[in-house]
Amino acid sequence: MGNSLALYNPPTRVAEEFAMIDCISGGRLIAGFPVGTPMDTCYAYGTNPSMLREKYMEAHDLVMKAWTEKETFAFNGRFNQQRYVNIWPRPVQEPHPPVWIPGGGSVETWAWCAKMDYVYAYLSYYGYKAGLKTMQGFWGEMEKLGKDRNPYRAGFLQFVGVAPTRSEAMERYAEAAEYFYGRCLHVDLKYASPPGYNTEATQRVGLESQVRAAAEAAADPSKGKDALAAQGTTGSTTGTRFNMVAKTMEDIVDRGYVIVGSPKDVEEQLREVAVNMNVGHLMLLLQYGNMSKDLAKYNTKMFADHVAPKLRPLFAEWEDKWWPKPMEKANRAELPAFAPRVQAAE
Amino acid sequence: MPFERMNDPLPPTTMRLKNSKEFLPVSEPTTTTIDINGHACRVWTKGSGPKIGWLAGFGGLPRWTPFLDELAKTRTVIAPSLPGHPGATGHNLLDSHLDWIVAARQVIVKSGLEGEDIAGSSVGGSFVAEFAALWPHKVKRIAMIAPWGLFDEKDPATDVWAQRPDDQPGVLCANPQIWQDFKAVPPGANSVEWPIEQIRASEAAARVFWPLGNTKIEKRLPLILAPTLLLWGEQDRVMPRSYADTMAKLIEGKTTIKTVPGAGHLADLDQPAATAKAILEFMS
Repeated sequence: MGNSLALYNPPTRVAEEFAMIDCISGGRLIAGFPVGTPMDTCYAYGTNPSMLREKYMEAHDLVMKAWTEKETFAFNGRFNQQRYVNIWPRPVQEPHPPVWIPGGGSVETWAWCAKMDYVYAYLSYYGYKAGLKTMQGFWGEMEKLGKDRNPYRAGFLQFVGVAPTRSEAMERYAEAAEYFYGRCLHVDLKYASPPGYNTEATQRVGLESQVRAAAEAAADPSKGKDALAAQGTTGSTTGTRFNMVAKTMEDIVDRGYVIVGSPKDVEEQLREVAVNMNVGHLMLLLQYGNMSKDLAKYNTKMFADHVAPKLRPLFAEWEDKWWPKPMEKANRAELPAFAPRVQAAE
Repeated sequence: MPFERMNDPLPPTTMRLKNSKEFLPVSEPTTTTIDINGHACRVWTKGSGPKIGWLAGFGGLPRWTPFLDELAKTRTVIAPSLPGHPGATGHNLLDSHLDWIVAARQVIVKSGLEGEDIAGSSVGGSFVAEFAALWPHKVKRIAMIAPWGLFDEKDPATDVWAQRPDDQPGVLCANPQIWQDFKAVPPGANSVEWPIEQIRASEAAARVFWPLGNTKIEKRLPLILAPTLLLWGEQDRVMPRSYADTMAKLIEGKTTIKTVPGAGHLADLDQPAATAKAILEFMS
């Protein structure tokens, strides 16, 4: 579950809501702390883009302290001041649920994940081909910071469609995939870059690569053109990318946004994705665009029955320290005999 | 580390309008700095005669302008940069509107403008109003071009931060080319740091005014005692003209409204001579 930390006042609301989910699920929560997209955080919620990241970091500190501090405490922050922090409920998982940080490829986020020992989850939406460079950058940074290559430090989002054969998969999932890439990522350019949303360090990296691409274009027009085009595809905002995005099923699959095929095809490709990117947590989207409930259930079942078991042994040599630790079965509540939804439906 | 990431010092670059030699400068301003919360803020000074302060509008002062040259013909123009605007950092230390008002006061006082005539445009104009309201005996006369601070949902101000890059120049200036020239990377400037400085100026304004530009300035306008000139570009596409009337009604000091033909929101950029003339006549 993800919750944009800077949007809540006070952020202890996030601590309590997440803790409630952790309780209800018997300790199965992964706490995702996204910064949030420009459109939702700054334009729709009205959060000041210049303070967004400062508020995010402070809210993170407050939530973590609220989860781990056993006594009531006062929080005297820059943006949040609470005399009595005393959350209820508290999370089941000790010392707190695992934390995953969804990010778009900024070096600062990687360094922070390394420092805090959190999972870095790259939600690219553009598949493994576009994501490879970012994940290589991530691992390069981990090496620089002296961190091991435990693949479970990383998560990667990937769209998947499974059917008995590749051609059937192409046919079944085309409508949903084309719906998603043709409509769901569109953000008007005017809402793409509220000032301050991207840190100056991130702006600098982007501008330096633009300058390099322009220099390449000047030196060698054919090569430079590719460099400039690549910038558009992997640009820093959904707005800048939208026009470059593939919108037909052939292109979508060709570029790796969605992995489709028979269980064996999908298994092979996902194995390649996981190994090449060294990613232990694949966050798979098996429902996307306008996919019907039946097809989503079918896709999920196909994946769970025929693909997932084959991938489980991958990275067995590493310990996943970032996976939820549910309560012992003996400690869980028994399911109630009364099922109100079933009764209501009847 | 206040100086980290700042541009190498460059000589002030004067705006050179295409097809116009009319406003080329006779000399460059002198550059000094003042310390605001441990950060250096640039102060440009030029001209002779009685002092007049200038707090620039949205985007700050990336370069010296023909408008300031007009003022400098008869006045000593002192143009300090507000935190986060070109030539100054430190905006990210300011978390509340009170923090900003205190910083703006320090900027005004430290650049020697206490008790003087002060003018300002849009973002800067808002701080001129705040200073004149809270320290009414520390200003002589004030002139403001479409100052920010109000928001009327029946006549909303335009969201300057929700513009496609191609549209923004035409939102801010009647002649979009003027804004483009104003913000263009000058020869010899760092092509990475220059655009970052321009985004920083927009961010600094956002830090104060996001999301609506509404600082509830209407509560403080009645405290302004100084004679006040409100200037509005006839083609201002950011601040509705009705805001001038609202402000004039609330300001206690004698207030005059003038519109500038052929000017957009940043009237001093669009019509330097006419805007300067209006201010100089008012403050003579």
